[in-house]
Amino acid sequence: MRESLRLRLVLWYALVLTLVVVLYGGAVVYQSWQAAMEGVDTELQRYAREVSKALKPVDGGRYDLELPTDAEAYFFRSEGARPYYVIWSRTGELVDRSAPDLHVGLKGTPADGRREVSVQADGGATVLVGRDIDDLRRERWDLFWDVVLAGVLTLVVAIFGGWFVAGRALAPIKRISRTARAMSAGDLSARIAVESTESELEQVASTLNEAFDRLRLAVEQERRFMADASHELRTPISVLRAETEWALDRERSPQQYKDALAVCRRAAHRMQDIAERLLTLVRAEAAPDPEDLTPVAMRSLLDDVVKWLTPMAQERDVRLTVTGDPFTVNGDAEQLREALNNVIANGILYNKPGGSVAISTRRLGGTARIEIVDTGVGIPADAVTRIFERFFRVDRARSRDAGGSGLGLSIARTIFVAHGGDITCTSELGVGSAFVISLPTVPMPDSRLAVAD
Amino acid sequence: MRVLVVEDEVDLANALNRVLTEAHFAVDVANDGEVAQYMLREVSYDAVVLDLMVPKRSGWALLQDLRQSGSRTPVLILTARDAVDDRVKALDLGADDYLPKPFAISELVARLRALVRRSGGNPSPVVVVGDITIDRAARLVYRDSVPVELTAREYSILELMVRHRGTLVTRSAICEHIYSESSDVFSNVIDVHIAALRRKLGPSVIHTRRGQGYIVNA
Repeated sequence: MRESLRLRLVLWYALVLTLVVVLYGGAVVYQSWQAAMEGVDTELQRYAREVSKALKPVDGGRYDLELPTDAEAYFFRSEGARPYYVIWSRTGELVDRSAPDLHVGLKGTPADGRREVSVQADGGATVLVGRDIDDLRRERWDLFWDVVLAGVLTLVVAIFGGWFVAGRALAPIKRISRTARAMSAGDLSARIAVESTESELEQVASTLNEAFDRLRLAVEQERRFMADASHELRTPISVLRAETEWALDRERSPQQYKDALAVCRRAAHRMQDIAERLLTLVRAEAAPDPEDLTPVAMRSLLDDVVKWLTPMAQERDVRLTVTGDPFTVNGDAEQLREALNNVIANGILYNKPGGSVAISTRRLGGTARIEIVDTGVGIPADAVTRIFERFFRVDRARSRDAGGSGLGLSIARTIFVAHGGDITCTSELGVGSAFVISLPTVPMPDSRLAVAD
Repeated sequence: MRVLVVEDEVDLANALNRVLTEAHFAVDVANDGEVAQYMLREVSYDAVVLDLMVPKRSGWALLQDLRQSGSRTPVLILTARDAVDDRVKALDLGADDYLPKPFAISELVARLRALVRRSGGNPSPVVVVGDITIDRAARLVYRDSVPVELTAREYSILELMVRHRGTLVTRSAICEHIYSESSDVFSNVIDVHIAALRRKLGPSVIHTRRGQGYIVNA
């Protein structure tokens, strides 16, 4: 494929160059022929004038001709061009001619291979001067073949040079395709060797390398996610296996069977919870179909979520408040509800009795900010950057006691990002955490339209 | 054989406790790293079953501390982390075995028994002391090829003495290795068990060092 690209480049190049050489060579030959003819005409005119000056009319329509020496020499001793003159009287009778055997007409075009000029002399006589131009024609053909030869040589050199240059210019493509092949064979660490950053192709190589880096990162994240997911499932599976193997090992009392089954049920619930959350995460990751997006009144959605979470908050003696402007987001209401639920529930779960979760909204031009500030236990500095990672938990034991899977905030973030927004977190140990969600807003929908809620 | 199970998953820890107790291990459970560290300092265990991801103090740190303190207690890592890197890291930190979750309990028990045998210097399941043959895999004892009926405690004491063949085993050491934290024992119970063992195995197997303890000669 690369060779055919190279070939096509060179063929186009050769075609254009041939055109240039032909036009240029043609122009050179034509111009030099024109110049030679002008020179001949000038020469002939000069001698024609000399002849006509030397022509003296005498009585009875007769003429006397006394040529100067240079004209004499020109007409009678020139080699090759064999110039000649013919003089006619006013009445058209032949007066004199230098080459008696030459057939020359008073009017009409000169014979092939000759060039002629005629002037009117005193007394109405006509002087015609002419010469052979065969030698000039030969010179013209010599020049023509010289130009053809030079053109062909130029073309040959240029085509070979072009082939070489095209090969060099296309060399990065070979490197790129080699690397791409290695990548598709599974070597995600393969990178294109970038030799310089000057040519466009090298820039393409750099861009591709960056894309490969991102691809590798994504694949690694996916791999880690799979490892984490299987890791999460292993513990309840271990419980199931250990419990059932123990129960089946020998005859047990009914109470022991009951206890074993209760443990198995707990493990099953946990596996179900993990599976459901994984599914939610995968669904949230698929970018929402623009067709499915509806204007969502965020303020009423927030009120809904808070209402839903109030029993849980009361149980833990945590106060929930919502303040701020209403705004509308184009999105999937169910996903946004889940995301907000996860963040707010997080604030309730990791709170202190008597604490609060304050939710406020603010519109800033085309975006809206939702701040969720809790008075909870806070997150250690080294963990703040990682809390949106899947399966990351600050305190594993506490998280599990609270029913956490380590996926809630990761799901929330995925949903906000899929809606063109983001979520960030700042926290202080023992003081609390603040989550800031930003979302692009849309104008309030017409009140007649149903608000997806 | 006294084992410490370090596992934060309560259901799993309970299951392991039951399973290992039925396999005649004296089992202690630690649900977090700090408790585990305390117990490891206080008790001389025959083996440790260690989950790497425990709260408060990680399994990695526990393992490192244990080996740095010079302990030779066999450690079996029981974890959901099954990446090769993790296995290598754990083994290089001084773990003796590695079993990824989920696991078969029979395998866990067999691996623990093998670890304890190896730590006693003799990996073979069958040990012969005079006319007594002890099959440590089947937990059976023969005297002149005739099976000898031993209680679980008697067997455990015999196994312990045989494992430490040639060295003096004190009464309190026997207590420590035979009973878990949860059992209340008086050390004269040991004397009763030893007397029963002597009766069943003959007087030449276990020797008494007055005021010090017991020994099975090498």
